[in-house]
Amino acid sequence: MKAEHKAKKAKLTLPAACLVLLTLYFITATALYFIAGDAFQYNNLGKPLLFGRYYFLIVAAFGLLLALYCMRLVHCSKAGARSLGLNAINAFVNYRFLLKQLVLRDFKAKYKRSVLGILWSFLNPLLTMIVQYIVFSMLFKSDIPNFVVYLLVGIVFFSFFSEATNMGLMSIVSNTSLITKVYVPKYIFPVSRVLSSAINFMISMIPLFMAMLITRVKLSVSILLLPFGIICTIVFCIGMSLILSSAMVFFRDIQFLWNVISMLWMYATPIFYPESILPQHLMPLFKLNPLYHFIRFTRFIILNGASPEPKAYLLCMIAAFVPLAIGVFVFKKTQDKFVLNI
Amino acid sequence: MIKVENVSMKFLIMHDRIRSLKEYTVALLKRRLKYEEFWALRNVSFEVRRGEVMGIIGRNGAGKSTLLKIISGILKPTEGKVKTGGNIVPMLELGSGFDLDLTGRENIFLNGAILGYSEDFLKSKYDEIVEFAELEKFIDVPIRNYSSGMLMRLAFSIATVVNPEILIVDEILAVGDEAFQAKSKARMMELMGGGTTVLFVSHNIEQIRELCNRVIWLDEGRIKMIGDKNEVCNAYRTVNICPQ
Repeated sequence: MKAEHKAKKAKLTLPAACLVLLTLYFITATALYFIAGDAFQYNNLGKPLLFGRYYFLIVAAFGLLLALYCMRLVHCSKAGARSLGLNAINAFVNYRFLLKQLVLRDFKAKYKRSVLGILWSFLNPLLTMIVQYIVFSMLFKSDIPNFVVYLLVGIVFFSFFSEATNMGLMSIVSNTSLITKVYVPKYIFPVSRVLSSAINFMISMIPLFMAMLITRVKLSVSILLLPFGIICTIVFCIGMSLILSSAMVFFRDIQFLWNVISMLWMYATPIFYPESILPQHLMPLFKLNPLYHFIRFTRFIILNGASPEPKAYLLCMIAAFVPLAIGVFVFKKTQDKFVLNI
Repeated sequence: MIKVENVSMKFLIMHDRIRSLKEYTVALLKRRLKYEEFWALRNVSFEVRRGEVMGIIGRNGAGKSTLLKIISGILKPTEGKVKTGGNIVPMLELGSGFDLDLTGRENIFLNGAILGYSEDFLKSKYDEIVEFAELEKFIDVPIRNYSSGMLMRLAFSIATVVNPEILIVDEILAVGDEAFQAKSKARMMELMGGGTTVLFVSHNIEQIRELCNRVIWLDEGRIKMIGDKNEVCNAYRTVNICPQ
């Protein structure tokens, strides 16, 4: 009875939700145009960009596609037909309470028995930053302008990645008792782990802002672009966690392997060294690293006080959604075998 | 309403459980990757009508729990289909998903969410759950400090607060001290008698006779007999004679 009631409610609000989504889309797109300003109009050599000239045309085209898809969804839900998007929305509506509870649990359980508790989310990046700052400013005499902020962006993003993937990795295996006893959509476990790390991620933004204030970084409207980089990173981490958690069910070696890989990943990402020390001929290889794009995007916004070039947005989106698509595919293929192998 | 159509479940049993890449490669190279097929269920079909209480009996390893897990959606059958209408509350094990570090209050919401209850529902039933579990004094204490009886009381109260359309029960759960056992048994009877569709597994033939309308007898993954409770129970008794 309860479930039916809910489903009806979701159906009623679907067209409204679509309208809200479309409105939000156009508002964001317009806002983006003004925030980005010249970055969309000229490239770094001052030549006009086609992207800037046809910006609203492109926005309208995507808006139209989005509207058509929304119409299809509404149509499907009226006709009672099944569609991937509709299933995803229904699953979200039905399980968002569980998701919320799991995120809260992961977050609460983490600091439950420590004295400083939630303060650690804030202290951790700060202390790491201080240690690394002392080490690297003495060792390398780096010529990066505003090294503190440069370093902190890298640390905050990378520790989120490392925490989220490490927690996500164990998410299926450590919930064995649940998975074998109750029916719950399994993707909810890796997703909830990543989201609870994302809360940490948000809190660790505070030391970053403090460092920006102390080092007198000029604040401009471009700071409003920050959520784009953050969301892309979260999406990427969800994708990675989906892959890792399903691999972990079949091969427990992954947890040890992942320790080594994530260390390698840390050194392969320009966190504490400038991009310029990377060998030029290996650059294409380094650009395959999704984290490189997210961190570069964020640093550009904060340190330059301006929007990066349009290509950077595209690269970030690819770097986020391709791993997500792979993750969803792998997870879907293997999830029915989890119970048998866990 | 539950409709089970030609359900078969195959398990692959590996003689050495391979859990690491190294072991896998070694086994593959030695050509020792052998699996043994085991059919836990074969061609099981039956239908439970709305409001009917269906008992399942059979010896250990007959496939009863596998069948319940398939109907609850935890396992996906190798072949065949299961159709269910309505929300299912599986009571296969109580308190799965409890987090020892969280308080009783927090666990009520966590465990309730896992069982598929909505937030509004849990908020409205919260007092009822606490009262039934008799844990008013300890509800804000981390459940790490609960006794095992208190844990089971809390788990039972959360699981049975809802009136599901389909209830799946693996043995009648009588938990806690004597007074609470009586109370929980009464609650189970109330749930099972209240017009819900029930699938009920038990080794207690007397309980099956008392509660069910019809009974399925599973033997080595196949339905050996299905029908009226007295017929099936009598037939089962004659085959599986107890020494006493």
